[in-house]
Amino acid sequence: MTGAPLLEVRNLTTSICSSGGAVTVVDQVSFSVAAGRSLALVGESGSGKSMTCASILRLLPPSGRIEGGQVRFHGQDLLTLPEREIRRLRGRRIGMILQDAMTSLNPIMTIGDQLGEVFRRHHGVRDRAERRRRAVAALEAVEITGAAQRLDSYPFQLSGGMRQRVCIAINIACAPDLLLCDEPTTALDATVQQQILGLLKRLQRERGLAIIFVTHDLRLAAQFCDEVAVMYAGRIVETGPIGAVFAAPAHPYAEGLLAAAPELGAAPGRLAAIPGTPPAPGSVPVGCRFAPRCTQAEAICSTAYPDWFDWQERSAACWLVPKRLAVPARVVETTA
Amino acid sequence: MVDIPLSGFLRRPAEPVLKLAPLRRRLGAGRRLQRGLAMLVSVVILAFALFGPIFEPFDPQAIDLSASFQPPSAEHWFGTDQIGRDVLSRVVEATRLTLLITGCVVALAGGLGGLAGIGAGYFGGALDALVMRLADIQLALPAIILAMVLAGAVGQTLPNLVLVLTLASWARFARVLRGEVLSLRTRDFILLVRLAGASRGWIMLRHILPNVVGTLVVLATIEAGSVIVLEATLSFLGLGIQPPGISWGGLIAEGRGFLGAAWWVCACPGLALMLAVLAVNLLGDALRDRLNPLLPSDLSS
Amino acid sequence: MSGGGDAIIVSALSKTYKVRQAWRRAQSLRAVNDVSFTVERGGTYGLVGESGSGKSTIARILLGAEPASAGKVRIAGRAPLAGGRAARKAFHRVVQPVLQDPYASLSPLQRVGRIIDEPIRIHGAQPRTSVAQLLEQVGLRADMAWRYPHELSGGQRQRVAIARALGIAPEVVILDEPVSALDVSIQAQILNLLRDLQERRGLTYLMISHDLAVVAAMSTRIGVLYLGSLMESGTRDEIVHSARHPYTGALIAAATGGADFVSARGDIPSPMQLPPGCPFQTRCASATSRCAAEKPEPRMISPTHRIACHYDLPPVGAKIQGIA
Repeated sequence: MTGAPLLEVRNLTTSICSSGGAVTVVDQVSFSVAAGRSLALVGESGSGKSMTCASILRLLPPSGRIEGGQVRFHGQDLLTLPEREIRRLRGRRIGMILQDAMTSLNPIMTIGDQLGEVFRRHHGVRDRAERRRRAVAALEAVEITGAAQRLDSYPFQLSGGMRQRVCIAINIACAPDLLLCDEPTTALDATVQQQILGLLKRLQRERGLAIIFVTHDLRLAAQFCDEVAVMYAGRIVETGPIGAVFAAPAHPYAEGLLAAAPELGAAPGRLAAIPGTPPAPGSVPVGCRFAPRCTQAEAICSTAYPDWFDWQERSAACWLVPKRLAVPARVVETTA
Repeated sequence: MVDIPLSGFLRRPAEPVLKLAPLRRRLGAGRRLQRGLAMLVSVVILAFALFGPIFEPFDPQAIDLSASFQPPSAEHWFGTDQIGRDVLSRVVEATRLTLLITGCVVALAGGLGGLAGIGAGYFGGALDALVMRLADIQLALPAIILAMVLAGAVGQTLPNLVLVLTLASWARFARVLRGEVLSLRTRDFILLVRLAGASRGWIMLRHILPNVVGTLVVLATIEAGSVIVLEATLSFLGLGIQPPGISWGGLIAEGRGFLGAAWWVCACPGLALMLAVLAVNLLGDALRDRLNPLLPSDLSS
Repeated sequence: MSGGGDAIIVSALSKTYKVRQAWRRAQSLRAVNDVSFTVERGGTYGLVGESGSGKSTIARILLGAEPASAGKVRIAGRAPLAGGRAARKAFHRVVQPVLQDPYASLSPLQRVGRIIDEPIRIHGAQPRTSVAQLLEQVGLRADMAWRYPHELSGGQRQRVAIARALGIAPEVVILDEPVSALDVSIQAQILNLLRDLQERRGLTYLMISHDLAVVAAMSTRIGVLYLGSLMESGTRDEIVHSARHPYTGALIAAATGGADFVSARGDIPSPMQLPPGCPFQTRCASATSRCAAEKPEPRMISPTHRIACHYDLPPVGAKIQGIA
């Protein structure tokens, strides 16, 4: 059912220069997204999910550096493109929505002006009235009522949910093929969160957008996305359709993450917490990175990094997959 | 570990890092060189101040009319002035007086100004309003005017000079420290100590003061540079240290008339002044880099 | 130890701020509007609300950080901010906070050990439990006492904050979003720790969060706040499985992501411009003209279940896990 991948990331590796030397924060990450599909990149602090997004658009901090890998967008490797070409892609073919809408918007420009800027730069619209008209249409597309009046508001006059809608409007005004969303709803209230997710889902359906949704909340991902890639300590540990992964996680970390989050329907009582803390990026253990915290770890887990097992559209990097899931799993690659 | 929010660094796209790395390494070396120089000059100045006479090849006041206007040579490293006095010795002697005055002024201005600022920030209300209005007045008046008025009123003596310089410098300390205290007051950990039942005195002594000491020290070091220049200016104008006292400003004033013929009489004290201020500023920068990482910036997103 | 009965009594609590914006006249901001609830000794009361609900203001009033504008507050029989300095100091021994931001809660210049025993030193008390024992009770190694906060992770700092709060053996702990800034796996650890400590020491908790799932996991009774008023309150099961107020329904919808619940429309109004009548009427799918005209009085629909709504809407609730 999935079309040809719109975005294909292969062995992406990114490092950050710190006082202690270069630290790898994204390690051999591979995944793909097809047009009209959404992929959730799930992980906790330090998992490297935000840096993965930044690497796709080559928007790393000055101390960051892409060490290797390929990012194929419509078949073209973004990592080898000259700076001029990548700039043309940013905003126009690939959009990005960040967590804090307040800092994403220019505080001294009205909403109308910021939207108008998009039309002027990317679509070459010179006529002011025409820009205004399109801006109103863009705001209505993101379900903002009274759009014509809102055009003259400043970002500080809007609520958090409204600001995020404006950011979405700015992004989709250029009709991009791919939208990168980095925790876009984390800073919003629960009820507003639902509205924004509903909006994104509708826009995705209408426009055939591909979405990469970065979040720390596996349940949120389950509501919204088609596929999921779970990251831990810089590596992807499990991928697959969200429903299947949610129902029967293969990797113990994904399982632990699901069990640890409090669920409304469950009886009150102790939560199944994952013991320990994630490793700091500079000091990952030998073998499986989750092994020190894994309740089911075996001897091999701390000596060799697991092979990547693949079955029924799902895959996971865990030695225990064949045993835990009792599935015939094909070894896709042996990781060094 | 706190995940770096994406929005924090989307300021400019990454350039090919391969080009940047060697440049960054060179910058690092440059910074270390700066610090080394700053330390060296500071140590030299301190040595001059404490053990002055050892470094003076000649008596700073010794007049030798036969050796007047000698250019810099092996015997007189900085040459001699119009009445044959060794310029190097005079420069070294000036260091002592300058440092003494600067030390006193920075201590007084920092102490009084700092206390005023901390009090204003912590207690607020009428005290805050009073301190800030006084600071506004001080910052509005040029130090020169102040010095002239005071000199006219009470005469030009050393304590008066210290008084004038202190009055001209305290407001900066007050303002900065007030700002620090205001932002500290709103921090969670101060609230938590208050909710544990601590009195205001406890909070002031054990939490506010230790947290602002770093800023105070850095500010004092940087202000020292300003005070040195201010004192030199006043002495240059004849409102500061009077002869036979020797100061860099006075030396520069003396040598001003001979710039064409005997440039060293004016230039060498000027060079010393410049190096001293530079060293003190670099020292302040280095201290700030050292102390600030321990003081937390807002890590909370 | 004060007399028996409820550990926390809040009655008709209100708080109004005067907000002045540069050139405009001062407006009043009703952050808390006639809120009443009680918490029995040893229990956990969960206060859930989004931004502008007034939950943090209530926390500050209960801790004695701010005075109330109206109403009565009693923690273990004592009123905050009543009496002279000695009485207020004694009050602070009885109730302690654990706040949201683990990075801002600890003094950066003090070692962990000094941070933890500071409340004990302030009160000049003989500690019943030593710093080492406190560290152990919160799941940290005793040698952590020598570290500085910047060497610890978020979860570890929060544990230190909890250890500090418990040092002077309070009866009540006010937890204001204690796990919101932590990763999911660490959240679970801290919540379990809080649960264990409560059992061991017989503490009373007021658990404040925007996350209904977290509140439901920890509380015996829950109150739902919106724009300063309690929309609904009741036992945990009543709120989670048979909520009657549309706002609670919206929160449940948000927490479970189910399509069967009606979500709230629009954005949360600013507390400075409270809607007339029922605060929720601007977003409620079942609102009528009566809702806009008349503020609903709280009424009991069961001995423990109270709602502030004109209508008797059908109950909504999260599906009980295990039952289809």
